[in-house]
Amino acid sequence: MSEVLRQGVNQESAHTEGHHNGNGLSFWEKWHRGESFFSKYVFSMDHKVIAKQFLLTGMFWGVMGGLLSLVFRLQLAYPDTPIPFFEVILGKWGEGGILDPNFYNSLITIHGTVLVFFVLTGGLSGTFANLLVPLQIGARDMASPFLNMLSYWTFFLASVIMFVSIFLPWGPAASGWTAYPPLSALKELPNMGIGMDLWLVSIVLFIISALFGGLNYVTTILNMRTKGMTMARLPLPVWGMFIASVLGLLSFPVLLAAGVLLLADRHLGTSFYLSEIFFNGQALPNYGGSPILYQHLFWFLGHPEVYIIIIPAMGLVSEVLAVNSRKPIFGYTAMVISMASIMFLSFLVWAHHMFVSGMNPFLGSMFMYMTLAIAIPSAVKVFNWLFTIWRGNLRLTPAMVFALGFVATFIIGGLGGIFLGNAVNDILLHDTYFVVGHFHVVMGVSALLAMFAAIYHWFPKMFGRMMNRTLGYIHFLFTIIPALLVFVPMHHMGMAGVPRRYYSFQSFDYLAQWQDINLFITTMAIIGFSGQLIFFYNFFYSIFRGKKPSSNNPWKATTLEWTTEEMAPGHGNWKGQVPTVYRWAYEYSPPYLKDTDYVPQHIPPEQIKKEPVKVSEPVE
Amino acid sequence: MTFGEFMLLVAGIFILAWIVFAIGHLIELNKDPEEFTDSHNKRTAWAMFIIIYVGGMLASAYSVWYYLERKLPEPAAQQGVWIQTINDLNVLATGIVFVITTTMLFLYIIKYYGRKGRKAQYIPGKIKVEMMIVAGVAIGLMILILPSGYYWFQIMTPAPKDAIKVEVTGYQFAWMFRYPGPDGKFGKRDWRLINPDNPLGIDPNDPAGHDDIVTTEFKVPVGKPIALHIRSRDVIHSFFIPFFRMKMDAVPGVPTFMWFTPKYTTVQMREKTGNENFVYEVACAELCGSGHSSMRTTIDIVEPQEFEQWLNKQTAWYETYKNKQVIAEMK
Ligand code: HEM
Ligand SMILES: [Cu+2]
Ligand SMILES: [Cu+2]
Repeated sequence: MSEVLRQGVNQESAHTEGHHNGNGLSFWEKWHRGESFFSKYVFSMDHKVIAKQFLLTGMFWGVMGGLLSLVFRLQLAYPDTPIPFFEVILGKWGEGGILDPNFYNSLITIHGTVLVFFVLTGGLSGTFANLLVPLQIGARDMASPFLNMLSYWTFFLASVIMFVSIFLPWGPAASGWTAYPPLSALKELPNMGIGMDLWLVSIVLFIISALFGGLNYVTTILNMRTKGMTMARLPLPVWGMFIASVLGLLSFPVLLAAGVLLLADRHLGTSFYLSEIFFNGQALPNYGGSPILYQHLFWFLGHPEVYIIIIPAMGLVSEVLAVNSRKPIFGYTAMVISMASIMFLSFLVWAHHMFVSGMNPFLGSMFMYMTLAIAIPSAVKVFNWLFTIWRGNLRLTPAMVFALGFVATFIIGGLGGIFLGNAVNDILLHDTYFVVGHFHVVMGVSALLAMFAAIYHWFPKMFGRMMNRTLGYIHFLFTIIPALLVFVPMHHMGMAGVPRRYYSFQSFDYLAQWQDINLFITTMAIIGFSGQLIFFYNFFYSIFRGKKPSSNNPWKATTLEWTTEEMAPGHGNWKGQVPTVYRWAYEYSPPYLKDTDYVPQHIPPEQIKKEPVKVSEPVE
Repeated sequence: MTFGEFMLLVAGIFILAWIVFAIGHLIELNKDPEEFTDSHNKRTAWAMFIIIYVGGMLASAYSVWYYLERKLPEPAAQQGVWIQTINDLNVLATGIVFVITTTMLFLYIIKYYGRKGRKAQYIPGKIKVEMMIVAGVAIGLMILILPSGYYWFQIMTPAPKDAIKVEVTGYQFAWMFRYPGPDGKFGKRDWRLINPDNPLGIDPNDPAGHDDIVTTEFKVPVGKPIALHIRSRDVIHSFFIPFFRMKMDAVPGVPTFMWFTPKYTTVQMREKTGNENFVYEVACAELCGSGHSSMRTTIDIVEPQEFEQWLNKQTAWYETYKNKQVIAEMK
């Protein structure tokens, strides 16, 4: 393999020249090479270390978010029973074992926020864009390693602020992750004071981090591809990161603006979102603003945000499916075009979250049509995945099993979207448990399964060892089964008119019958959470004690990340030269091959052992 | 289940999980993680098929049955009938697509699991197939959306001229109603005039408001179009009538509208549901603070003559207001 590597001479820069002598390096270059503890593990500029930092932070928030949800799930299961340990863990918010309703709202707020932003955006794209973009396009690092480091540390700061806000005596924000004003603007409301300000500051920092990261990914993908790596040869994870980053760069600033205006309404006496409010026994002076303006600004990001999460997930899953089906991805170009059209359409559907906000019905109907249009590229992707495994030779690795689970759950979630995108149906379903079921199936389950698939698949690349396979399967079962049992019934609850964000179902006669299902859901949630402990054990155990892969390409994949000399490469990724690319990333089982069933991207055509192509040779 | 039993159950599940887990860990120790034998793939494929697919389909069927036992009674407003029809249409259409695609997925898994000596077929995709997918999905969606395009405007058009007007105001954490009185006109409102005697901030100098009726009771006649003018005094709320399948946000500073024609009186609905305590409950569907989940009110749907009688018995808001002002001045 290494002879082959050395054949591809290309784009070597001063960057690697200094590789074997440490003299005369700039300060940044020394830092980048990570020679001290600090520059190697903490303030590292190496994209692989930054990827791990994102992953660990994401995992931390995953646990945190999960624990928060268990607390409010227990409340829903036992709304009138004092739960003694609430007082122990929550202090004044759980006095006498009764959860404070404001704190319930805080719990759902922080749960939603950290899972959407910190786990599924930071943890998922942050990790895999960082890990895979340079490795799969054949670059030694990001275009700006420094900005990349800054991106993580801004994210870290956002995390710290959010974390601190949870424990302050004034209570964490309680406005829901959507933070609609006037609720979020009235700082005299319980839990809407300092907690809400910290929430906003944290989100602003997170957006800055996402912009730093996104700029870097886009620049890197456009400028740093190795010789021969045309855009049309990019592996799909890279396309996913690219498209999601462009989407983020265009939409995140709008949320930034929304957040800053909200801060102004809170503290500078402005009236962007406020008008005609009588509150706390007095009429507020604000006049002329509109809470609907905030909703437009929020969902102009909020909708793209869900695709910022799912598009990278789609890319990662496409790769895992192709590698383990030993078959090219079906419709590579269609996959790229559909991702691009999802991105484009994402900007034209945001008001489907606002069908019943009093918006002009004509506008509503337009948004209904655009929303259903976005289902078309989504369906193209689903069928392409199905056709990818069709007539494949499926190697059912844990990663593959998770990727298949992604496809199964994405189907359910996408079909739920058809109900909600239908404006008439949304009059019933908006702000009911149907919405909760829908987005948890697509994000909470689907995107999370994709993230696990990617972790199992690229774990050797990150840590140089393999994860325990059997535990991977057990983890899969302990994840998908409880997750579906939690979220599918919620669709039915929504159709039966159960509103979301309810502290208890006690006040309504027509909700009482759902109490038993609440208990069931809570039990399943606990089981699902316990399943994640298996993953955590496997993850940390395997970092230190996992089996070493027998070769540097354990999955027999075609992409460049598996061509590094070391399983978990160090600074600069390739010790020798960066390989040149000769073909697309999905040359699996081409009929002309003899002994193997794949041709890596970097193998020159003349080195392929071919056999004469037999005409008509159906596999089945 | 009591809380104690529940905790026991959970503890049991945990212990079970950890036993399975320990076994799994040991099994793998003497295996090569890169070796995927035929039997390994076969076992995994069939396990997925049976546990996830067969189990999932059975669970879905059970879940649908469970839902049918608990679903809302027949919609009690014409608009709700349309909404429910669209919803059922969606259930049917997506149900079919769900079964087809999921079956494809899992059939492929048990059919094409990896075996030595077998080779995947090299199919990079065909533009024709992609075009067919796009066309098929587009046509399917178009058919699905056509009736909705029509009903949406039926539901969202301005209310008919002869509709009975009622103003709904949400505030933390209750609802208040205003009827326009004999003149059929609401008096002007200004939030700066709100005080305990004038909870809606009706302008006392506007004669149109003098006969307005302010009440916490919501009564409407059956069979007549009812036009709601929805407002909020503080944060966003949402006026959600599950039995009509309808909701509309109440937004401070931005009036919103909704209209419907009730089909059954409360009494009729009691007979239909066989529940003698049945009332049309109204919920708040937009997070509005700590009392969100108890922001309940009810609609009483009555025969038209009963409605007239009830309305005639109400005193106009201004009468009480005026008297209170007089008393205040005397003090
Ligand atoms: C076929 C594609 C999809 C369609 C047509 C669709 C449609 C919708 C609609 C109309 C809503 C608004 C419902 C309401 O509030 O009344 C919604 C909510 C939501 N969707 Fe989707 N969706 C699709 C896929 C996705 C995907 C892939 C994700 C995420 C990965 C996602 C995440 C969400 C989230 C987070 C919300 C709720 C936000 C909230 O109110 O808190 N959706 N979806
Ligand atoms: Cu959306
Ligand atoms: Cu509310």
